[in-house]
Amino acid sequence: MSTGTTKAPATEAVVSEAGPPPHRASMAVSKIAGSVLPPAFMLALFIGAWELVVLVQDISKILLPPPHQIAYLFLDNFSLLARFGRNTASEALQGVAFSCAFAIPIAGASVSVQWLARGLSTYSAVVKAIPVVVLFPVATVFFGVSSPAVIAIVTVTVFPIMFTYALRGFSSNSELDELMRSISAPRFRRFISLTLPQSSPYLMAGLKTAVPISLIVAIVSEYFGGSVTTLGSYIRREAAQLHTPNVWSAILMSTLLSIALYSLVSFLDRIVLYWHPSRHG
Amino acid sequence: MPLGETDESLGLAARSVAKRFYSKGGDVLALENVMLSARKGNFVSLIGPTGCGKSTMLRIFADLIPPTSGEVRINGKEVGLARKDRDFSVVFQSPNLLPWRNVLKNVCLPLEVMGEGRKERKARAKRILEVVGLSSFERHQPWQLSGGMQQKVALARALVMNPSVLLMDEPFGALDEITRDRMNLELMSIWQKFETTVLFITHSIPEAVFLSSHVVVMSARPGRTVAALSIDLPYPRTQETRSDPRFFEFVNTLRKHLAVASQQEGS
Amino acid sequence: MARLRVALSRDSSSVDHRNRWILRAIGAGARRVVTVIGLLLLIPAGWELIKFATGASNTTMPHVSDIVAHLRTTTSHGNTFAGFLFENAYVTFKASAVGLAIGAVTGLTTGVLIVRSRLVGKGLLPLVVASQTVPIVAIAPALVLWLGTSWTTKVVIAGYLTYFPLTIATARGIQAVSNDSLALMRTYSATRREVLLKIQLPAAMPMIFVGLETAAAFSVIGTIVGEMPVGSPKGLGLVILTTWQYYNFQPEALYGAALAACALGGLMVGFVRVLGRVTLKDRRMGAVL
Repeated sequence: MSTGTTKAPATEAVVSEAGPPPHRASMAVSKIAGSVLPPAFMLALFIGAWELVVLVQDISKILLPPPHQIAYLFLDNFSLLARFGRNTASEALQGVAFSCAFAIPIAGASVSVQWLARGLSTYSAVVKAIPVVVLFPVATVFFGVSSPAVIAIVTVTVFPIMFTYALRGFSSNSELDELMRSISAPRFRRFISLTLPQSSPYLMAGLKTAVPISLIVAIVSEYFGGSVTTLGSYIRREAAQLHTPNVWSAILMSTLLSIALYSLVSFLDRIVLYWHPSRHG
Repeated sequence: MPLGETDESLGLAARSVAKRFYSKGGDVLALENVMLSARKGNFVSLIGPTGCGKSTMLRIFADLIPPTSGEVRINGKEVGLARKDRDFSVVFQSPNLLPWRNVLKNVCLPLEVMGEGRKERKARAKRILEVVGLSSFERHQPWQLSGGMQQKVALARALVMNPSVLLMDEPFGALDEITRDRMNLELMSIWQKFETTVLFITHSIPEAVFLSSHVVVMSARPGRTVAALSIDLPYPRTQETRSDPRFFEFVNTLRKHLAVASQQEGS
Repeated sequence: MARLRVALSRDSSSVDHRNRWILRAIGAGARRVVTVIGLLLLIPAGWELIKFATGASNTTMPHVSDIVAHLRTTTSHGNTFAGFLFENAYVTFKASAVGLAIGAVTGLTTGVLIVRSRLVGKGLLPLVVASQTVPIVAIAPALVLWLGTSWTTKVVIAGYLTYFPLTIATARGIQAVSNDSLALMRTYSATRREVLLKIQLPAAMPMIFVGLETAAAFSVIGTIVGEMPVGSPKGLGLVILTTWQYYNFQPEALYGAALAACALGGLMVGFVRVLGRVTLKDRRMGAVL
């Protein structure tokens, strides 16, 4: 070994090959650009290709309308689509609300009863396998061809999701829980101060999955029947008359709605979970 | 700093190596003017306080990270070339065995990548497993083995390529002390059978003294090589070595160096 | 089932220990069977209970016995209603299986692509996510005109719904591979293809099977829903539609069809799950990779 046995003199400055680090503001801009530009670019590419294909192949507008036509129709019918969209979204969110109202208490109650938890978990796994949406006709038997039927289907579809997440959230038994018990904290207090906040990451994750699904399920259910002032039934009417561009403009509305709802939940998520370690860098 | 020997006789050589990491949180100068060399067949340990950049240096040797400046050589070659020529292997702290393969197939992995034929692969893998003493576990799945045994499989996998240089990053760091002592003994007996140059990173001074012919001390970040000690205890090292009074002297000397090195906070 | 590791001491209680262990294992297995059967029986029991409690008419909620009885009646085609359901379920099954296969292959490829290039991934992933918000059933009528047959449309819809869970599952599974494993492959100078085939895809298998289960459920939904608006000549979707129309004459038929749909969904998912267990039998993920 031929290195020196004492400290090496740090006289020479280290020659770095990259330049000085970029300014902080420009780094923030580049970070946002980094996450927005690629999908925007891809989207632009996709739309461009779509226009091109329709043009070149001279595809009938019944089959595949060009994007610009869809955009015009969307803007023309905006108030109508927005109204229908709001109704659909309301049905979807009500469904989510109902399923939470069932799933959370049931999960809370069954977390300490082993056989119940396991049985319900099996049940919810089975329900997930069932094509619930196709049971819409069954729902109309009970509720008639109306909004409540749609809400019922959404509730049943979303329930296993919320239940699974809620159960997982309530059963993270940690030393914190044992600590609470050791100071004889009353049950209710424990639930409020510990269980609920501790399970909120799971509940939020459940919502993030459930909300987009609820919208799609609502639309598909409405497609088969339900209030006429909803997106799903609008799509059905227009599709039956082969007004495909109108159908696509409604689809555009549903996509935008989905993104909006998801962003809402993400926003809620950020507020509620400001304390969570995963938030900080 | 003149090295005084031609590069080819050195299994490992690092000259004035510096490494700077750029990140949104700010820059980090991880290594500064690292000087390190090892003659072929030597066992060199690298010790230093946490965060001093020992793992970074090993990864630079392994051609996993490029140095910001300075020269790094393995067997006198540039590390990229050494990697293509398969001159070295790495053992990490975590065994990283593939859970869907049994022990034998895990050891075969590098040979598959090298393009060896199936019969050749199995034969070589079996031979290596015999050397490390795991022949009866060929068909076992990784989860059936203890942590120490999994690391032995990782070691076997590293040796099956017949490398001239072995880079080990705290391989026994996750094991308890009793297992670790046993693994040190086994590593010594395995190493005697090959002529590999070894770069061994560890937190444990006794482990470093027990295993190595030379120990290099690094300072706290930015890591600099601040001291090197020749451990001229006789090989093969055995349990008796640990009770040798000179063993304790070396450990104490290094402890003092390390204390000094930990106090030197860099820029 | 948790494996109970019992330290067999050399005294006389060792035999006792073993016997107790065996009894415990049998007890646990028996308990499982009883639970499953119990839960299955709970459904008709619950049904009758609700019917009794709400006083629902026989049209709204026919007795379970009536529903079962209807399965045995003969249809205009000559076979029993149950047989009729089975025929149509089989048609639906074929279409959804093909849709699942197509979606799986597409999803896997997309997932790999997303992980391969960070830029492509960043651009593609949001679009993939957004694509799932499109209610594809909406364009089914137009799709039929384009694709020619209702069968192709069904399969396309099923494939469309299945490719998303698989894309996400593949991408997640591959991303979970530890950096050290990738570093090791680099020191062997492995090609990207070798890393993909030897490390990334096998590591992603458990996650992929989880996605496949979801996808199986979706493919059944997609197929049935696709059968409804496009006037498919055969299939459970059609059956559900017609029994719905004639509901007031024959309520039991709709429930029978609904049961058939549930059974099909359950079978597909169950099959995928068993397939997953068989393929991944040797693994214990967690500790090692």
